[in-house]
Amino acid sequence: MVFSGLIFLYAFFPLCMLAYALCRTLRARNTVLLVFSLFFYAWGEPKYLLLLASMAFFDWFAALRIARAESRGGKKAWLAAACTVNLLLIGFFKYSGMIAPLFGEPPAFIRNISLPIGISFYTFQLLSYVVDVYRGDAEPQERYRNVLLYAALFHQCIAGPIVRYKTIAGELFSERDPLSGTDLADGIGRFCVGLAKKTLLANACGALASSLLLSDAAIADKSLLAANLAALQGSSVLGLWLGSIAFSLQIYLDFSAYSDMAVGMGRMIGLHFPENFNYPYVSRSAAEFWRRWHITLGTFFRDYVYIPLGGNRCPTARWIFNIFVVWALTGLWHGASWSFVVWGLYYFALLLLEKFVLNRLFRRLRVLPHLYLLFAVNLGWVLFHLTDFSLARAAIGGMFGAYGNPLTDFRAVTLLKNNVFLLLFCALACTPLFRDLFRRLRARCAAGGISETLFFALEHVAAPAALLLLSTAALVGNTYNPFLYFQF
Amino acid sequence: MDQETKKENIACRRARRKALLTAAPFFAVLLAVGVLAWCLPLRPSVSETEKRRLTEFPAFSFRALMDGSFFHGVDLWFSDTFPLRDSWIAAADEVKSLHGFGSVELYSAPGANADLGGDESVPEEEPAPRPLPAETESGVGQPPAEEPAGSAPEEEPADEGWKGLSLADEDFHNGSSLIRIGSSAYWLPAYNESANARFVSAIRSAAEILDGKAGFYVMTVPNNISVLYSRADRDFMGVAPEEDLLEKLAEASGGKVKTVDVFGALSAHCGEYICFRSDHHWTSLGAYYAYAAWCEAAGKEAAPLDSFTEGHWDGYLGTAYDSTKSKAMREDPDTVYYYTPPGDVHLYITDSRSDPVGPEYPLFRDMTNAPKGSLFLTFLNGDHALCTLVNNSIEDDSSILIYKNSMGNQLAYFFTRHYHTVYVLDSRKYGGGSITESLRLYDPDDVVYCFNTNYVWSVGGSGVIEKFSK
Repeated sequence: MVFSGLIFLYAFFPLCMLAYALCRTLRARNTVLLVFSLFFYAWGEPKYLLLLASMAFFDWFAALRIARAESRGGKKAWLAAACTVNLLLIGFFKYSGMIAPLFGEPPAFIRNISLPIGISFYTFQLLSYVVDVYRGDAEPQERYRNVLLYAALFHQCIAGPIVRYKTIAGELFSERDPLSGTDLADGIGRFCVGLAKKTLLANACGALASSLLLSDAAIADKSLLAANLAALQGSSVLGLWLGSIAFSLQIYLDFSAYSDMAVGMGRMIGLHFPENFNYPYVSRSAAEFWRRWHITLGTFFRDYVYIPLGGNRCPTARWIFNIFVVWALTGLWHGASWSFVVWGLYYFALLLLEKFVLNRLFRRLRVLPHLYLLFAVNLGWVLFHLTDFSLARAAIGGMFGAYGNPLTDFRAVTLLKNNVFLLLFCALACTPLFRDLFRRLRARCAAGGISETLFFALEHVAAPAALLLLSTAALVGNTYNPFLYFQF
Repeated sequence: MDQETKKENIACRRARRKALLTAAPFFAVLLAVGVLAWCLPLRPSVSETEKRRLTEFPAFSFRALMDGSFFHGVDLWFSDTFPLRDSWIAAADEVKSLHGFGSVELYSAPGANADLGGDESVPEEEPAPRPLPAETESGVGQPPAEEPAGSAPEEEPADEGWKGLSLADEDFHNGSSLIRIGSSAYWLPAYNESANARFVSAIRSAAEILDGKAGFYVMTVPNNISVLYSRADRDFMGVAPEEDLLEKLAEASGGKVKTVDVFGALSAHCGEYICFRSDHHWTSLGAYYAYAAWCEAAGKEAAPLDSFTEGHWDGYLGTAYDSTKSKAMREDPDTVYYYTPPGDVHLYITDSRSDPVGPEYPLFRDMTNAPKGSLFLTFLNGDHALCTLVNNSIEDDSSILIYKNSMGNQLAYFFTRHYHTVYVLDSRKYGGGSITESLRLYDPDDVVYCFNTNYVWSVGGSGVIEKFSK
């Protein structure tokens, strides 16, 4: 089930909210959340519900043992056990299909492993829980069902944000204000904006990207490799750039939309999840980009990998090693394919380039650093999208006319004309422009420029309902509705 | 409780009430559409515009539950059969029209057309047919007693089409690349070297078998874009030069085949209504010009068009509309013209090769109450294994066999002006037969292969024709 699915919108979510609203105690509300979360997870993959529950059980138990162990050695042993089990399980389910071929023809059972939905997200959450308990940053949870709720909470279980236990434990288990005033209205607004972003913008960009830069299904079908290569090499320069830009827009709008919806639904019930995006495309460097993109993942790697390795308070060679590890892992986290590792290391190279060369050159420039970042990120997304190296090479070569391909063609010009307003709107939606305009307008209303009540009604009443209806229209009969980050 | 706390509580309650009132419209929409969504009687089971049965509620099994396919099926069912589906889609189209300013739209993705019509689907093998029945007063076999001549029998409901009638190549065409320019759709030639070679080999084989026994004509119908747009325009659009490909095909076919210049015949009339705007078929007028070209190749005199009686059905939205859901097409639908041949002409249909004649049907099906997307089914009542047109006004035993896909449906009627019996075999429905067997069964004077190019250039299409041409 996905948040932008009709069955979620018109069956699961209203029922969940209704049951939640009828509960009087926090315990009952959490029971409702747990039951609906497990059902939500089971809807996508019933057989892996057991895996989720088992991992939560083991980590709950390990955290208790860590807290109760009297010696440092005992605590370490339980931490090591928890980390090992978690990493072995994610390694087996996510990476065995990638590693096994290195040692010959993989056996059938490995070839047939399907990736449990959300395993990358909930494993990291559970790891953060155990490590935080070990470090004394969080109290161990006495009740297993609470750890299970934390890991399985449908708002963030399968596509983030990666919420650390200590961030949410207070609100989740003791002190949240259910269906509180402003939170409810803000949550609804945030959810509807996310839904519209996904259904009206991201899906349209995705369809455009697929038609110019191959669909996911075409890329995955190895029998089409020759045809795909020919298609990319024969595409015009304009077509390939247009496709890559559409994909760049899609991946941001898609993923940030999911986070908006998660954050919005959390707000509706008084949970404040951390923000996952902060307009990454306005960055001036790759380092800044990653402080604004998938913030919760970056924070996780910073706190649990980079800093424990020594961070930047160490000799340069060691620092380079530290960021190499972090970016290789970041790439690997995004997918069980070597191309993702290369994509991660591409950012490692960019960070080194910035650290030792570009930062000095760009110090006094304003526009050029933005253009550099957009160019670099766009190429990165081509690598990310075309998971076969030969396809990525063909596309990137074609973007610079390496195959003698034409500058423009009928197809690219036609698609550009047909989508020019969409692309412009999406590009603006990737900046804080609309947010700032909105804030200014609100401030003006507060100052008595136009009716404050009218503005309030538009913002909190009319807009969410209109966006919900428009999104429903876009979803009915639409075959293109994937969430890109589900594969991770 | 002090005054301060009381005030705070009141303010808090007011804030909560205000928030709930604010949230009410959102939840009201959620509830209203949610209730609508669960009104099962409002859920459509068939999409008229897409000419398909919508997803059914999945059958429950423990295995389906555990592997996720049951819930996946429920998801599909829920969204596919959403109440007021067409209205939602129309609203979404309005939003989509704001994406840009172009009147041209492209459909399909690069790499996706490498193997058009890619399945090797051939009609199921059927037992060998019974011998042809003895001629009756009307020329061939009588319809069954319970189904009076001239009225269509009740059909079993089928997955596609209207009242069980279907066109077998719609799925294939819906998967091809097409360009929409305004209210007109154009399919692009999808040349495939190996499929083309298979087709050439098939017609060479058929020519060898028919040599000295029957005249053999091949009519390959080009895509509408190739006959309606100039070469220069098509070069600009990156469309493969279909006339060159057809010329090569004709050269490779060998001297025993008479290739009818369909491309030339249609191009000469490119300013007329020879192709539908919303459908991949030619119109009856286009079919007539191709028939005239056949007459020229066969050394016969074409019957004038005005010797036929014209009829028409308005508001047709064909296969391109299914793919595009274009508002421009919806506002400018096609008209399906049909030409009733003069004389005492009858149509007999069978869907089984083992039943050589079948009951009699009206020459053109009455589409008065049919959905607008099904009007093409007026010709030969859709696609069937064997349709037999009998013109009792011709008193000899002349006959022609047309082996075709749905391109032959309009064309077949014109041949009744020259032959007593016109056997129309559908390549997708006529299971297990061959040209050798057909020669023995029907003993035709002439044989015509009539297919559109994208069908013969598909692996599936050329495979079926190759199998038959033995």
